[in-house]
Amino acid sequence: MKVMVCLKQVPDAGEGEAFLQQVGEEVQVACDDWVLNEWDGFAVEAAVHLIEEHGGESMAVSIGDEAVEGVLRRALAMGVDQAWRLQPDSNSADDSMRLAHSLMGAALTWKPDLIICGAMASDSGNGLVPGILAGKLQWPFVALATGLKWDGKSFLVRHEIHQGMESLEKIGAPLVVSAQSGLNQPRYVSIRGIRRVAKREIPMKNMADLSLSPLQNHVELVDLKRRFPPSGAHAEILQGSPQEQISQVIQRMREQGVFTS
Amino acid sequence: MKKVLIVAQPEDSCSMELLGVAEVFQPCLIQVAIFGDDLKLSKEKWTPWADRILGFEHPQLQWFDTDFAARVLAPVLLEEMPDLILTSRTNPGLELLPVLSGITGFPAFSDCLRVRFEDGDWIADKAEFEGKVIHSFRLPVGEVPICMSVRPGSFQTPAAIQKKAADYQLMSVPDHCPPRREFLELLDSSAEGVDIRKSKRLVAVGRGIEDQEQLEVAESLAKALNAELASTRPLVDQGWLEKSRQVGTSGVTVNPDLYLTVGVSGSFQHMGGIQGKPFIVAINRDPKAPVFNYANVGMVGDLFELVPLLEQEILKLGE
Ligand SMILES: Cc1cc2nc3c(=O)[nH]c(=O)nc-3n(C[C@H](O)[C@H](O)[C@H](O)COP(=O)(O)OP(=O)(O)OC[C@H]3O[C@@H](n4cnc5c(N)ncnc54)[C@H](O)[C@@H]3O)c2cc1C
Repeated sequence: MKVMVCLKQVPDAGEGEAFLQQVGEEVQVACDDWVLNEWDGFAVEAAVHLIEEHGGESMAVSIGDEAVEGVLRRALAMGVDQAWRLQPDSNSADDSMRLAHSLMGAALTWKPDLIICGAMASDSGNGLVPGILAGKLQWPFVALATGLKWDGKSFLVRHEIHQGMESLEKIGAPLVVSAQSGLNQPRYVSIRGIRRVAKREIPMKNMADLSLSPLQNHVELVDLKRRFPPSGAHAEILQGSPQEQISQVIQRMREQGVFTS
Repeated sequence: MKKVLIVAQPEDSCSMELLGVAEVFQPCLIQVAIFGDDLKLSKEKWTPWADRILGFEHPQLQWFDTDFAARVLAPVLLEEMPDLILTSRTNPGLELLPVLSGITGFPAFSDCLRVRFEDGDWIADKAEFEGKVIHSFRLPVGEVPICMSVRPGSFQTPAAIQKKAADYQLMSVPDHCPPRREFLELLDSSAEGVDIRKSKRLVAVGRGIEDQEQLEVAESLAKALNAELASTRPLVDQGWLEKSRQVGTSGVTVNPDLYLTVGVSGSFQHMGGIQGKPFIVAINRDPKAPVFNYANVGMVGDLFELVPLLEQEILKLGE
């Protein structure tokens, strides 16, 4: 079996939001700390696990400049067999259709039986690339997988449909699946693990390497401003020392009838 | 006149809200594509609202097979070339919309919160970084059909859009479209365990708690308040708490009087599981956390300091 997993690096939003900066009328994303998109971690684990169980080969791909080698190395450290960095199409690096176009080139060149992506990227929250890729390849697509098995002939995919309900489906290869959190527990990667793959060569593939012609007649949405959401219905933020805040919150809860005394 | 095509998902209780998006484009022609193995009810539902209904009736659509639906609908989109193709950003919508975009080559816009017409341009807003910022895009309306998914709850079904009596057209489902997904079983993942929906007071704990051992901090506050412990999804995914405690769009829906959050960022997937008008208290150290847009009262600070203090004060009340 051949499994391709698609990765995106995203700003590390773990601590506060120093990476979001108000500049004049707009908010800019200023980040020099990039990490693997959380959902993609589940995708990598699923790919590595399937190959460990059934044999075959896994490959991680990511689109972008040399910086994306960081997330590709992380995937190598988790156990994927190889990694390709795909050269981005022109300068509109964030357009879902263009990203899917490049990934399609990788898929048609490497010919995987299964492509796994994260359900969405934590920065854009779009969740578009996996489905567009499937549509372009004319492969079936299942979103939000919480279980993924191979029974020797078909994939058994468990995935979320609505409000805590999941459906179990049987689908043949080739297939595109997007990984939901909880699909698995991504394995721990030690600093030593990362160091071990630090020297691995990561080939860069351009359009010609992937036998891709440029995307024709594609109209893009025009990227305008980012801003902080209006804080109209904002909470009353309690002031003072922690002890004073606690007294006030007890007071507010009392006014709401939470306490009888 | 603009042409708006609504892709109505069978089990989507919010699909009528898509008419609220269409309203922004008035006057426009409204087409609605409906799917199922028996379309009688949805046909009745949409008839007063649409100019034309396209019915896709097939045994495979008894459950909503989005792969099948996308493949039968895409050729119709390529022929009709609507200005806007709308569907809800539900889980099936997360499959259907991008696949339609991939097959047709029409650009896609995901998770729309607002649309407005401004200085001759159509502008749409979406959230990024889990609601921390709003990002606007100009839609090339008129240049190319645009596939758009809309966040449930963001628009209202217009009270009085001009009533029409839709033409109904039963669409043929081509033979060259054999189903590719075989449905085996429906599973209810939150059916087992405590039922937190019964509790009028909930203490919801999120990833701010950092590790499993520290859950105790939230648990003992819940105990002091005589509340049940609720959770965000990541803690459940880690296996720290049972699924039946997860509040949100993929968990349970609760309707308490008091909802006190501890280290919860306030993603719409979590807050979407709260119904009614509970009194919401949020404790979070990030003053920009979206949870403060939902809460009545907020405390900005370290939960490991604030929560034990709060617990002590509550215990002093002797409730
Ligand atoms: C299809 C889909 C369905 C989903 N369904 C659900 C669902 O049903 N329910 C759900 O909850 N999520 C759901 N999610 C996930 C959701 O998008 C968020 O990722 C999740 O709700 C975030 O959980 P959190 O608030 O615990 O974690 P985070 O977003 O990581 O937030 C942690 C917060 O804790 C704060 N914090 C950290 N340390 C401290 C401290 N010491 N003191 C005070 N504050 C601190 C931080 O400032 C931060 O705001 C779903 C996602 C998808 C894609």
